Amino acid sequence: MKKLRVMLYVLLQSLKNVARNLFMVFASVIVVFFVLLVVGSFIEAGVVTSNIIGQVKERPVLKINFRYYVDEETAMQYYEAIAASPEVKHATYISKQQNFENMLKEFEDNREYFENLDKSGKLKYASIEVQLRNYADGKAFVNGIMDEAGDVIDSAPNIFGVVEKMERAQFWINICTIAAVIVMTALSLLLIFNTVKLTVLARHREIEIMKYVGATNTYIITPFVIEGILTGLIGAVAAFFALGGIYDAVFRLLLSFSEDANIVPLTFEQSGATGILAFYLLFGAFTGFIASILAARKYIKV
Amino acid sequence: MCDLGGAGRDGRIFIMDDVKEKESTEQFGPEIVFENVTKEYPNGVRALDNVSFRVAPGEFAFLMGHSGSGKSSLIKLLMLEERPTSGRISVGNIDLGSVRSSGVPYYRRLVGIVFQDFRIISSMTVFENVAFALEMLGQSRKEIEKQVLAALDLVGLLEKRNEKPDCLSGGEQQRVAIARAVVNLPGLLIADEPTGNLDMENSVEIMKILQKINKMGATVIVATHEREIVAEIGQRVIELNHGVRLLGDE
Repeated sequence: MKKLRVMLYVLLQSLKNVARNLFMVFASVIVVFFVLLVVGSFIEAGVVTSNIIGQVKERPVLKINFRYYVDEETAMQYYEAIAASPEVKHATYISKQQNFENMLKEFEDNREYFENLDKSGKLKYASIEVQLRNYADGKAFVNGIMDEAGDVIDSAPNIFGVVEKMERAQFWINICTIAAVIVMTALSLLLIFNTVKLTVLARHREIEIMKYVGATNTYIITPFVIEGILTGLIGAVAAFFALGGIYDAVFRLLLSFSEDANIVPLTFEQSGATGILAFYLLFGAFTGFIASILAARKYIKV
Repeated sequence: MCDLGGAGRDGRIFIMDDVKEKESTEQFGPEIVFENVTKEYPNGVRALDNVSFRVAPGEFAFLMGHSGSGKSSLIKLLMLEERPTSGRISVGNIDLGSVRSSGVPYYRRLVGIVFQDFRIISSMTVFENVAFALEMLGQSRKEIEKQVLAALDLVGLLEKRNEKPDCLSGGEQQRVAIARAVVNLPGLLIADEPTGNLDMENSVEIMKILQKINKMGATVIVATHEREIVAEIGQRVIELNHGVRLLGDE
């Protein structure tokens, strides 16, 4: 019972510390918040890039769009030739009308405008959706098609070339993530250390008296450690929700591009939000603990 | 937990139920023994040089000497803030040389200390300042209230328990510090220049309170350089000069 009362008293003292030192605690929370936001952004960028690369490699799909003046008969001939290629696993022909209907569906609000615009006929074009057998053949396949039928093909987005670039980018994202974790951890440690140092200095008289009346080292240091951990945790939770919000905004943006590229990005939950939250909480608690215990041991001189 | 062998029941000077004006005839305070104690600091300053004396259980002793005579070093040794370079110190049956760092807080719970500059926390009320020493021991609210009120009654500040220290006179602030020092019922009370910041009237008042605590059974050591106070109170004197004990009959 006595121990429980001591623990409650220590916890209360920690909360009082936070209240007394609100401004500095807030500053530290902000730093932890931005640190984790930056680190989290790098982590999420890595996860999403890796996912997109994985999706493309697993299901190498591309969409070939013919020029508007290419008639359906010619387009069908190309379709048959492409479908017969050994690299192609599956091909689907999309007629001019079908493409146009899809576009109208996408721009439902401006349907009338597009219907009027279509009088020129330039909005109707045929397409072929091609799924390759191997991701590795993708880049050469697209280049081959463009060489042979560039005059009739309007666009064949070379997602495979993009993926190659993404793979290179992923390497740098990983490097940046590691660098960010190191630099930002040091920054968080420094700020929390400083906050706890200021609290210790502000309470030096109280600490001195505590020592004289027989407070143990653990008893004196614990409130400062709890303050540090709380600072880290509050910053971590705030950063998690902010990251979720930013991710959702970017997710919606990616969705608007994904139809062409045939890539469905991950929602925040799918991108490992639970792992991110666990990492954030661990990071917050760990940096708070280390920084505060270092500051307390250095400045309290128990 | 350290045990103050010479301190009697629980190593405490009194039981709070008995506090109210009931002076004990028994001596619960510990005996203090300094045997050939020398304290030399790393910078080469020798604060105490082969000092030996004994304070009997429940005795009241003045530690006299001018500034730099070694009084503060002697108190630091008694509070285990410093360790002697050579020699032996015992408080009750505790050989201070055998108390490890982890045991220091437990030893200090058996010793009350009062300073010249009061060292009370201005943001806390009188009650909170005194209760502070008990809260870390995990005592219940009821126990804390009972002991704090008894300690404040002892120093005559019961009526001012809800005041902030800023509203108190110097003498009253020192009485708060004394209440905090004795609220945990220590066997030994050390006062380091407790009247240094006070006028004569308040100084005598403080000394009377210390004597009252002594009569309850505590061993009391008061470091001072004020000869008038010592003459007024008329207790045993241990005099130090440049770290050497000059006089102090046992």
